[in-house]
Amino acid sequence: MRAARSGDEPGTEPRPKSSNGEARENLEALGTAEVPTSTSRLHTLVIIGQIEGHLQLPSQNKTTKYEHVIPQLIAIEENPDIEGLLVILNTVGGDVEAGLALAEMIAGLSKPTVALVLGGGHSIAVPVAVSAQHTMITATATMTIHPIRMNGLVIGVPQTYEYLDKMQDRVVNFVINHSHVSEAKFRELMFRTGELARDVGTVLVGQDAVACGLVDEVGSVAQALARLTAMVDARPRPARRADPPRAARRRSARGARRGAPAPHTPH
Amino acid sequence: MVLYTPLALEQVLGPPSEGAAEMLVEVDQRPCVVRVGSDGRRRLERLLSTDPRDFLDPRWQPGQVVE
Repeated sequence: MRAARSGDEPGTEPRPKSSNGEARENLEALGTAEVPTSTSRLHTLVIIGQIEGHLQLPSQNKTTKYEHVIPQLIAIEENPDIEGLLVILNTVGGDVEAGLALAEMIAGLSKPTVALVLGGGHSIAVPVAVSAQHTMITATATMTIHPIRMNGLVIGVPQTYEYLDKMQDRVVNFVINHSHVSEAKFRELMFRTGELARDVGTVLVGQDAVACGLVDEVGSVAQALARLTAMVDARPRPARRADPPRAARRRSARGARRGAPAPHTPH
Repeated sequence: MVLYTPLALEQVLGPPSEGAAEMLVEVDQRPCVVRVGSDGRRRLERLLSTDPRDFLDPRWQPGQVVE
């Protein structure tokens, strides 16, 4: 399927001439009308609205769907031209399973990752935010930390609470393992009373999220991109597949003797 | 399903609003969400790409009519 030519649409600008020129050049040089597009070495994943899980949410929700995002993360990991990922969050949370799946995938990438919380990164977006190797938040963005909830049929047996508690432990454990916040502090924020009008928990604004160790620093787009670029540049280049293994081993041994810096590891 | 969101559940799980259906199609080799308007034409609603340069390309601008 192709985008309609802009000229078909009244009141819209025609397509740039350079694009047609490139297409003609490609037709002459390569025998194809497709324009080979250059790609950025830093890719960005924008997580918005509700993080949708196994059930499709009603259409009034803006959603981020895992069936869209998971293949993109695989492509980012697999594509050698992509060297870093900036995750941008403006989300109200959503499904626990889907949120944790995305968080685990981002944490499992071998390439440098930076997350930037803009506007809001609430509830299940908290583990997604801390899953990146470096997490930033804008000064006015907020993160809501509160207990998880259950919807649907609830049976009044102790197992119901134990199940809910296990679900909550999955979230808590991921957050404390991927950020600098302690378990005691995170649970205290989660169960604090008197701050939220209709819930138990805490809203952290910008610097508050940094002060408790959840987020690494306050910043915005420029700082996030600068940080990601620095992480990409500091990363040792992977050996090309064509390199003979023995030569690669010799090079790495030489580097170790010279006191080469250790590769960046996610916190 | 365990939902973890500060929104009221009735806001999230409320009845579906009446609106034109969205569908996922490929536009020039990029996955895009398109919406069928009242005139029957499909307009690009959202580009699903991680390459920031794609978002500068006029082929994938929101509102673009898709053939």
